[in-house]
Amino acid sequence: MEPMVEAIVEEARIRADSSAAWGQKTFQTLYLGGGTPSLLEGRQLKTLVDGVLDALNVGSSALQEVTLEANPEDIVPEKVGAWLEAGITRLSIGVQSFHNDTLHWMNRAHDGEQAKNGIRLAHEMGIRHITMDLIYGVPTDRLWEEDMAQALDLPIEHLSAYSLTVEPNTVLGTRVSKGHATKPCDERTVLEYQALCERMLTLGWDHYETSNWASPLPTGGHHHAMHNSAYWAGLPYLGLGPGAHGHHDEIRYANVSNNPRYLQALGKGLLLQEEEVLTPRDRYNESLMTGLRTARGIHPESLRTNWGKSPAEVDGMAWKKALEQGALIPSEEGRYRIPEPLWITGDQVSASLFWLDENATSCP
Amino acid sequence: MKNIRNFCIIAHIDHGKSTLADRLLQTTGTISDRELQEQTLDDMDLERERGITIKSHAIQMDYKGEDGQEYIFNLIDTPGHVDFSYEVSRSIAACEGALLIVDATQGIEAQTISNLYLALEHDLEIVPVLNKMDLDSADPEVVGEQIVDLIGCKMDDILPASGKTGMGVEAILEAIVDRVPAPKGDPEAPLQAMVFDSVFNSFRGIIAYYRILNGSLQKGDRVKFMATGKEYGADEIGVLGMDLTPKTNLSAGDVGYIISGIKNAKEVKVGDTLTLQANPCQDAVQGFEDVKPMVFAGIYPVDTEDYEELRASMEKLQLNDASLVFEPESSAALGFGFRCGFLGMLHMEIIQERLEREFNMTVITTVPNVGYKAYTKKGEFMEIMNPSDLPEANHLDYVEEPFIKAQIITKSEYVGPVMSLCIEKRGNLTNQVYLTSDRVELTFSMPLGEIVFDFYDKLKTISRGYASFDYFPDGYKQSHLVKLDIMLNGDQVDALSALIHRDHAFTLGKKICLKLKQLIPRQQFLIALQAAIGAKIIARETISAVRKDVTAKCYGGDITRKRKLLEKQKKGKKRMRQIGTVEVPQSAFLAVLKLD
Repeated sequence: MEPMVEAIVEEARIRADSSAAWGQKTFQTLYLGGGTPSLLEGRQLKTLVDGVLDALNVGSSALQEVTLEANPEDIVPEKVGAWLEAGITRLSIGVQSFHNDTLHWMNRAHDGEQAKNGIRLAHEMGIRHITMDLIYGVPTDRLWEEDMAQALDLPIEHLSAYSLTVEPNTVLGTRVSKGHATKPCDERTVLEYQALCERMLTLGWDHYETSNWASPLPTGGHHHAMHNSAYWAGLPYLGLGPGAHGHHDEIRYANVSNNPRYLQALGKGLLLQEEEVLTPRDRYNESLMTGLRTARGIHPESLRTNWGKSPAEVDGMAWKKALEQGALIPSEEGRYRIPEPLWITGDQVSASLFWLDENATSCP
Repeated sequence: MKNIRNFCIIAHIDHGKSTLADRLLQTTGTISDRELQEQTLDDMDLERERGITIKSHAIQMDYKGEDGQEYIFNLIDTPGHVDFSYEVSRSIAACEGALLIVDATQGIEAQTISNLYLALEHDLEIVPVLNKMDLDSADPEVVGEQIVDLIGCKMDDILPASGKTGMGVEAILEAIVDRVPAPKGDPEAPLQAMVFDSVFNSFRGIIAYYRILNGSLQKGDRVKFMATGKEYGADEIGVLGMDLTPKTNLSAGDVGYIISGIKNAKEVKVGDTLTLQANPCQDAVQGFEDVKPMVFAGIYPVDTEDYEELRASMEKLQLNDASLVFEPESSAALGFGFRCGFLGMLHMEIIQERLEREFNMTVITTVPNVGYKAYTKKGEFMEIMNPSDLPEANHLDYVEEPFIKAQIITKSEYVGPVMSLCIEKRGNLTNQVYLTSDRVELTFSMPLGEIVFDFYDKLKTISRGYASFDYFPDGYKQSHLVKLDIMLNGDQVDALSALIHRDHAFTLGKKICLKLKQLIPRQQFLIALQAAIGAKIIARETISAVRKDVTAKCYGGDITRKRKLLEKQKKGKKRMRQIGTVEVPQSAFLAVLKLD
């Protein structure tokens, strides 16, 4: 672990030094995740956070949200203490389910009790902001109602729920393709999603993005995830570590995801990355795609100001059709959104409004 | 005239015709090594990609013979596909000799034989060449014997060659001098020239290629095309080098071009006779035919608003491809479009591809069909170019469909599978000849409509590529045909209707429904697919609705991948045609062609 921590800090230093884009930015949030950073020893985590913030010249008090992704089995008093010391203010916990057979089916190392105890412990020790992940549409005999009830009984202020997807070249994908596991069924997936939407609505939670709910703040408003909201708003983000993506202006980069190659390159002070230059059309499509996943929706006029075209100009027929079918509805301040019941089939709405390259030759 | 040699090349696809032709051009210095692009003669992109010659071309070479004399060679390249057999016959008629190129590793194929017969009919001197002799698998004894059997030459007459290494090229050039007769003809007689090809040039209009049989032609002459009766001024005449080379005078024996301000390919017909207005020849050159389309299909714009643009594109396409015919038609499912006639399936594919590449049109091609003859109980006769036009069953007396004589040459081990395929396709074996101990020529009488439906691919598969195929029209015969209709959510889709044999209707109906189920993507609602004959439903399938399509996570690392995914999704959709509420991809319209 030590060399990886050093390499990530080194990467932060290189990016901050070599690019004006990052030197002048004010960082507001830090997210440690996309992997299992909770595996790190407390000391290593602190080295990582301090090192990165130092490299970027950010004072730890300047950050409004510092999230750590954690596995339930890693939440033990010593670690939580170290996390607090390292400045972690928010935990994102990959619970998935409290049903042990289901967890076993998904190859998870924890059990339901461990998850509950872990969340309570972290909260008691002072990590106030806790979000957890649940997975719906799983073809096991667990009761979704029970998973939802147990989740909401815990001191969490935010919930992400994802549908089970079978990806090729994963343990599950191989088992499904060989017929050793059942494929998730669409009907069940949709019913469970709808059940969650209804339940959260009655509790006053804000379903602010396709897969995300935020609990109400006593002062009004909701506990939205700041860091993730930035992705959907198209704000710049600096990604560090193997496989991490970053984005500023018209540039998006992706680090090499192979750990040894990443380490080797950073050992020589080099970045091994793929860089993509986004065209206004790409950025229009991304704004549209991420925007339509949120309750805020999209603002046609801003799309036009920022990227040159409004959806009606990009594809008038598709725009009209989406409005006529009610797949898009007007919302505040000239914005448009997909109504919540249709979010589950939102991809086809987004795709229909995409701006394609008119000059590209069509392939037969 | 005695130093002119006009010849063509007869070869099967892949037997190395173009490579060997390029060697001739290179050795005679017609093109430099640097200019030598692979397959120089096939200058349309599509031709080079598919490795076939769609149109015929001609090129002149200067050759200094071993006897010290200067010769002019005119190589007339012929199309290599059965769809274009009329053009082949005209090219052959313009020559005195033919190089018969046979792949020494493969042996003679059906296409070669039918073109060879054409050449023999026109009394061409055949110069046999065994190509690809550089390969270890070359079998000159066996393949040589096939050639001897076929044309009655001596084993010694066959020239070994390799287009790849250049071996034997000199000997071929000398054989052309020695064996191919010089053209005969009277330069003093009235002009009689045969048009064997024409090309369209966007700046200069139609350029017609011809062979002068008798008489001579001067720049500026008033010329007349005998079949069309049209007259023009010969603005420019010349010979065909690597580029057009203008001349002031051409005479009997020459192969040349004429530019006379013609804008439309329809005005220049292959096989027509070119003569002088002032001093016309008595007789037209024999063999002129108006080429008739064999296969018909509807072409519709994917976006109904593009109809006028499609019309303009088709008209432009017709300017350089006179064999394309079309007339407006409308379909309940697809709106306004065109019913098009093609020479064959390859021709249809080429037109569709050219519309997309050269005119940037996205089109839907409907199920192709052959032309039928329908007779009603009242004794009326109708030509049916679209299955939807077939009279109702209660008025219909009988239907006739076009038959063909199909020639298939294969290895003897594949005779069994080839026979079963042809019989399954309603063929009757009429002749079987062993060309050698392991090569058989099978002749079938078959309905042309069955060839349209996936015959060629299947033949290739069952014979592992060791079967070649050629066909000739063989009149019309009465058949028990029924109209199979397809319904999407209860609405009949006229563009998916097909005429098929009664005995195959049930199996085909089932297969088509299953295939459509695979090809039509799931949509927001359930789709019922049905196949019907008249009011009777013979097969049904359902496509379940999409209940969920959204990917759950979309954070920093997911955005690029997801954007590309949705972009692809929309691109796919743009190629689909909306019928009622259902979006149908192009592949579904051709589903009936690709049933297993």
